[in-house]
Amino acid sequence: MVAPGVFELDDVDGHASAVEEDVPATREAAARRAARSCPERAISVGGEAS
Amino acid sequence: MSGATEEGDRKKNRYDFDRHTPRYRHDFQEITREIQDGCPIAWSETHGGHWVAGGNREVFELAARSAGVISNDHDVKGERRGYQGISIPAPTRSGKGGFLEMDPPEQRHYRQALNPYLSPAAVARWIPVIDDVVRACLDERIEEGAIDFVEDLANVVPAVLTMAMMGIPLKSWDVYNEPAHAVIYTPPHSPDLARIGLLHEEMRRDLAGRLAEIRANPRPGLVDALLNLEIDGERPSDEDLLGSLHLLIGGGFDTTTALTAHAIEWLGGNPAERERLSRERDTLLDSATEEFVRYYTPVVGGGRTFSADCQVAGTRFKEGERLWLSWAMANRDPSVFPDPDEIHLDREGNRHTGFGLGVHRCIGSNVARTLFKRMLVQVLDRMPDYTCDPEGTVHYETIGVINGMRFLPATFTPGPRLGPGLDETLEKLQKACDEQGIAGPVTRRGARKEP
Repeated sequence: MVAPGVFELDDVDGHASAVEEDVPATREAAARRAARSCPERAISVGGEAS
Repeated sequence: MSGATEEGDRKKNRYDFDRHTPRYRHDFQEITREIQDGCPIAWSETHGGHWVAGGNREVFELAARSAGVISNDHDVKGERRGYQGISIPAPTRSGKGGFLEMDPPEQRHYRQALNPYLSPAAVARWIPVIDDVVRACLDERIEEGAIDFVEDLANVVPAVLTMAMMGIPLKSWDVYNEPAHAVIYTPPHSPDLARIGLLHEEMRRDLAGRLAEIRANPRPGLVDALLNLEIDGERPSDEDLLGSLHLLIGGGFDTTTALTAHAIEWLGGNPAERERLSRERDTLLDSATEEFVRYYTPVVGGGRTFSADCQVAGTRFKEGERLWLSWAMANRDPSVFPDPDEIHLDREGNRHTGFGLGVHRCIGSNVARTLFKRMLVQVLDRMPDYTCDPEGTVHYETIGVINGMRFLPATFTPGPRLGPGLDETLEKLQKACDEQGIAGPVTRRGARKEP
């Protein structure tokens, strides 16, 4: 995982979800890295599309 | 505009594309550049005529954002619109390729039934088993100082684990091993085809027997999951179940073998990078794994059929037309990947298409990653100075389906065995699987981690 503190994986189906809607400043860089790495382009940070 | 001119306009970007020729493997980079620079969606007259999408953006738009107009359906009995599934050309014999040749919502039921066995949490339970199989494979060769990384390691471990996850006896891996690979790499003109056909028949019979056996005496695993599947109150046909079991074997065997062998070959040729990966594995192994998946793209692409007239990424398509989505070419698009034809173990923002995109994205990606990493780290630890033998190395002659390898012999400084050989290890692990029920699903959601 690119950003384990920002997302968590469901044990049953493996789907990822945000740990919390508001990303703390300390994790912002990780969240943006994750958005840049997501092949399905399913992650957006701060309203920024992908 | 006349009909003929309109057709010509729609298909103005043409490319004579045949991924089943040796030339496709030898000139892959050049073909990719030509299609990406000149098309990047091309019409090819080969194999009855089909579209080829080779640019990353185009592949993404078609695979991940066009679910409503793209179909995976393989209508083997001619009950619907006669679509031919994911192979181009369509295979001459064989039925539907399980849930990969179905569309949602039917396909989604299969995925939901199998996900609890394949999530990261479910796969993590298998790590001790995987590690012991890898250990045994290496022990078989460690005293000799010589190994074939394909035959002695990368063929064995994914096959054994696939058996284990399905709920099939581990030692059966050998029944499935040769046909599962040979059916991919044996060209249609090979004199060996009849023998491979017989092996494949034996595998089909064995698998049908396992299905009947587990139906009579339920045992946890992927087979049991499919046997319990109900779609709108109805059980799928045995034909569809067997198609899906063959799909799991096809997905579980040759793909991870291809990835692992290629990575080991590359690292053998780049010993400084091999040392760096070993030393910095805590930070580098994850990104290196994704990079090898990107660069080697074991599953080179997938066929689709347009289910409606539509316009996507600037091209107009008609219902019934065939499309090849090239994961391999999308993974070498310089607009997304700087230096696309080079391996950067620490590549960031690696949005590769190596596991496909969209609703049919590889359901076993967590299994593949885990198997790959566990095999690689033990090789790095126990055979750190291995040297591959280019003379004995054999890649698949054609890579129209899987970018695979048949042989990768290597030598290394011999070392001591750490435990029993493969047969004895599999017997021991079989007991552990039976007693601990590791092949069952993960049914409880873990506690939310503290952020």
